[in-house]
Amino acid sequence: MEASKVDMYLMTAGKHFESHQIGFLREKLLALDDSKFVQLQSVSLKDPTILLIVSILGGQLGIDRFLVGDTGLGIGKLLTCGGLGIWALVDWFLIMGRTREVNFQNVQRVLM
Amino acid sequence: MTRQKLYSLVLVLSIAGYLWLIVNLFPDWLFLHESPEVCLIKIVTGFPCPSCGTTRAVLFFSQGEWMTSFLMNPFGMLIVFSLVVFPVWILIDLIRGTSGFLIFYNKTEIFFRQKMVAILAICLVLLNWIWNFTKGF
Repeated sequence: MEASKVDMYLMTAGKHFESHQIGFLREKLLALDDSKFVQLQSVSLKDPTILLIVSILGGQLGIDRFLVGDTGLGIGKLLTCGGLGIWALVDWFLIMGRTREVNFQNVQRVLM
Repeated sequence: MTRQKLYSLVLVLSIAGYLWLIVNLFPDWLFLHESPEVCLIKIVTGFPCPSCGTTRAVLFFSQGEWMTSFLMNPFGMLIVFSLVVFPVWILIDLIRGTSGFLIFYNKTEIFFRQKMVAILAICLVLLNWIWNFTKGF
């Protein structure tokens, strides 16, 4: 793919990934075939900030974990009242990283 | 979710669960006069969350009062099942080197991701929540 296209994608979608993943992504995207660009753009990326807000408001019910795709952990959080409130609190700090990780995994599926 | 991550998480949660039960059975040990309030939703809004009453439900279940336990909060039964079965299952898996619990976990996730199942589960949780409101915790 052209460098300008890749840079534009990374500029718009960059905040959805960990900063240390950007370099790796750029390399992979440059080597990617042009025909896969549409497929890449159709990958739904979750906004870490939104997930943080959801985690603060509905973390006790596990809604953040359900949204990010960790259904099992979501059920666990829901049944245990957010892990007695402690797990819900810890997740305020973990959920943004987890969202970026999931986004990276989703994009990797197109790259592979 | 990797096997090691899941197993350590569930084991830690189970130990925390048993510790929490001990705290609630013998609050005097921590110089508490009654069991502590930890539900963030209840502390902030004053209204119960869907799983409020689960601890009491588990305690009633352990005393053999199954009907009272169910009426207190049906989630209690699920928690009792998880607390009894999951740690044993994981320990057996660890000893044998198998991944039975991980497979069960992944299958449960796939099951609950089906649209109809998810909607039904959400409705049940909401109904339980409404029921909790009427109990006046």
